[in-house]
Amino acid sequence: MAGNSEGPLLPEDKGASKEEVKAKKPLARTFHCTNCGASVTLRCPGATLSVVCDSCHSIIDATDPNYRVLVKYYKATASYTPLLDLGLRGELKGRTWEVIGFMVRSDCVSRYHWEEYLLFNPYYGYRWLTQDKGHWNFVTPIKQKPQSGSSNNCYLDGKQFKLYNRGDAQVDYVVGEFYWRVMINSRVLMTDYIDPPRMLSSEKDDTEINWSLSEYITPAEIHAAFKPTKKLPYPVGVSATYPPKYKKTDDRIKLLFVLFWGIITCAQIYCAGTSLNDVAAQYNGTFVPNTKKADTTIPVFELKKDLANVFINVHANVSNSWFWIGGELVNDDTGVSYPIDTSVEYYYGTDSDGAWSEGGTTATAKIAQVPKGKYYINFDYESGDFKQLGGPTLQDFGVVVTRDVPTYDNYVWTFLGLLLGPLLSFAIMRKTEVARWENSDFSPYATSSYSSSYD
Amino acid sequence: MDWLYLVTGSFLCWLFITATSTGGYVINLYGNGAVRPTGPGAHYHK
Repeated sequence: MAGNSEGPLLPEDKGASKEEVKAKKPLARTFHCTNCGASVTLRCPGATLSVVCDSCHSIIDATDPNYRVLVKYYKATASYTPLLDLGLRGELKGRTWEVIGFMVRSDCVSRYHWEEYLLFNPYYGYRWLTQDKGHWNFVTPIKQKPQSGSSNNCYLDGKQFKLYNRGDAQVDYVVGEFYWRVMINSRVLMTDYIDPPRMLSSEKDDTEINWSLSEYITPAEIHAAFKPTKKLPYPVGVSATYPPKYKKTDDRIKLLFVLFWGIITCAQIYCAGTSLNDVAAQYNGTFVPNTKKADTTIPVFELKKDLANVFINVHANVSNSWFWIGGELVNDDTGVSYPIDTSVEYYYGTDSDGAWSEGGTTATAKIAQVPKGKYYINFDYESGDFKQLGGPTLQDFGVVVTRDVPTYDNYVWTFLGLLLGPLLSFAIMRKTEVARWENSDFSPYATSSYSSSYD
Repeated sequence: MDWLYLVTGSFLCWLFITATSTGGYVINLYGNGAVRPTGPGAHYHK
């Protein structure tokens, strides 16, 4: 045996300190295999019902005075080597456990196999460690029968566990000691329900149903506890009980999103409520369709508030025609100017699909962050109207300059920007969950064509 | 990732409040801004 193996933990050790328990000298019972004559060590005499001979793999009745052989000459068809040697002792969940048994089990249909290590502590009984693709679970047998919910879930202490797997499992390989008469190829109906990082499992045979509760445990914890000589495999993929780390992150991101959303909503309400929305200047004029006119000036007007937007609203009664304004808003003191370029276009008619229209008789040029001061506007304008090519008719147009208009563009863009975080978080979490359930016949993410035959 | 969102979200909120209170744009799709014409295009000036 490698590692920190010592004598077995026995009930009379109760009351001893952990150091005393760990340093305890061997008290194991040794006998000769009644099949091959090799030496067989019984680590937990009195608690073990069957033990497997390391040499010939015969399963021996540990309670029989003559060590009757239960199954002879069993030869492992595959080479299974336990990662945790029998006799290793380590502290998990605050208690000391000794590895006394190892078995490999597989799904009878898919032949998918996994490893199970039986742990023993005379005060606390038996526990299991399961290892599957580098993922470990600490398994505790429970006496409490979970409450059954719908066909695909059950409840333990008010917590819902979702059906993950159901099928026959068989024992492929055993070595060590067990508290029942273990038989190669013996089968049970296994049903697993998950609420990561926990899993509820039931094993049913002809005589009984046993329930157990598993909890994910990292390879680092296993290594720290048992200090195995063999290198533990690196976890591959997302196991059924892999901790939903992104769930907490996702919850925090959702909380932050609500907080940020509240902040920008309050700010939006405040800014919209305190905006001036002040008409600073107005200009009404006429234009002749299909002509240009340059250098029209809106006289000097005052823009209040230190820094705010300016909306230049243009109105013209165009009808299947257009009216364009181009110019600039100029600071009368500094000469700093802001370009204006907008057109009013309105078209309508009927075609095979019925009536249609596009555009309108108003347009707005928006200028951001204009400092306060005195300003004027110079602009050119031009129009086009194919209906009035025969002769000119004067038409009216108007320009309204409004200072500090409440807007909602920023609110929408910021909201969408803030929304990216929760969306990304949700996508990552969903990807993890889809990977978790891809080995299950009961995946809530499967399409209907893959739905389980158990449904 | 939540700390990254905390930083990014705080920045977006700051940007929103700064822009909205000064009549600016968080995203200025049209690139509107002040110019000082110095060439032939300055004919608008009186």
